Amino acid sequence: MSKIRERQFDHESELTAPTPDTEHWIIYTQKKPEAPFKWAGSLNAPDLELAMQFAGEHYGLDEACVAFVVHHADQATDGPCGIEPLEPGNANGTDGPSWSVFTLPRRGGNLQQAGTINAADAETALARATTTFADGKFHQVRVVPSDQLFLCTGESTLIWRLHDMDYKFAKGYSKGVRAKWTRIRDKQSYEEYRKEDIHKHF
Amino acid sequence: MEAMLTNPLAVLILAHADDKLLLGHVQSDWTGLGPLLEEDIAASAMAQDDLSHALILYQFLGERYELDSDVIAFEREPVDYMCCDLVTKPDEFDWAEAVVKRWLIAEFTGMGIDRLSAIEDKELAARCNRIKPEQALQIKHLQAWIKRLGTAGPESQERIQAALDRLSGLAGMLFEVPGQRLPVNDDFCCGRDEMFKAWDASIQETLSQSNLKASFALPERSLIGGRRGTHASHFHDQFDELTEVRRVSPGASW
Repeated sequence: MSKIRERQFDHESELTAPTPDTEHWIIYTQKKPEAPFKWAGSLNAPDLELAMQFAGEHYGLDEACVAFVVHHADQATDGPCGIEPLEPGNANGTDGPSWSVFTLPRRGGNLQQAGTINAADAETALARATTTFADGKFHQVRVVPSDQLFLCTGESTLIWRLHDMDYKFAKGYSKGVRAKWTRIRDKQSYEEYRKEDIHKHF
Repeated sequence: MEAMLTNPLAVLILAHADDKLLLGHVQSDWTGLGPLLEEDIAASAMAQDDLSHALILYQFLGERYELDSDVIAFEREPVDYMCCDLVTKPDEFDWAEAVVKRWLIAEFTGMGIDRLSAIEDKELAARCNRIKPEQALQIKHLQAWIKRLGTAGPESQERIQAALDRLSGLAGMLFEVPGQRLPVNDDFCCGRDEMFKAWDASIQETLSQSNLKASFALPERSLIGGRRGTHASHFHDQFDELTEVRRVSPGASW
């Protein structure tokens, strides 16, 4: 163990206590230009500026992406998540401010951007979003005021790093690596390990 | 190796690369100890970036001098490491000190890489241009922290000001003339005096927005410190740790 890490910590007195002064933010990433933004995860940050920076450092580096959007968790209004796919409703109208619509293609999956609608309030926005976007293929709708979605593009701020990021990709199962492993493990146990490892991590 | 260590431009590149290597190593100690989870992740990502930037510069030197980049990184004598000793100064896991230290160094490195990229060397410029946007991210992130810690409240302001007071007298080390094998009057530092003024102006601008104060001085050219191979004991502690695995089996392929 490193000498530095051998040092004894009294965390309570030496380190800042977990701060309650953070808020919850939701992140959606866009893998390729023109692709829909998909739910990536959430984070805690004291304000929008740090939320955007943390989003880039955290979700922007998980997988290559070209852009992400962030909104405060309180800005999301979710409809019920049905066992059966949602059917279109009959709420129509175009009055009110813009809302961004996210839909859930399958239960347990990730929300993804579907488009925008206009509505005076969240409830109406949910109803109109269901009417506009429900096509018997998704299970839930989320609406977020469009002016509360904050966009970061790789053009305005670097997201995916420019240095060699190959180590972040799953290349541990290349032919060369496989050959090394199978020299020391029998083929079947290697295949089982590989299958489970990929299932867990990728 | 000798040719590299006596070439002024190579020495200047090594100074930045060694800063990055040691900083990445030291900062990675914060992994798991950040003040909030997201900063823990961000600080760790930036430490990785620092190591990657060091590698980019070592690879450039390796190609120029036909040396393995790992050999440059891990197999020089301590006296030939040209990092500034501010980089390895222990922060005692004081977050305020860690942020201030990183910020002062990041602003310096940002300017140094800018200047290296302006040298008429397309290959060097291409490598520096990969580092520049990532370095700019680090600076932006650290400035955000300085501003928040300086304006969040009395206790926070007091702690970050105290860290500044402890480090401001040492920050001049960044501008030491590097390379113990080169004469100190060699004017190869990409405009050292002018760079100090620009660095100081940038630091003061952030401080003025952060309710913080500090003054900095440019050291004499004759100052001999870490960049000229006369390292503090904390460098040697870090160096021993950094090269420990390499020394177990020099030249091993991983």
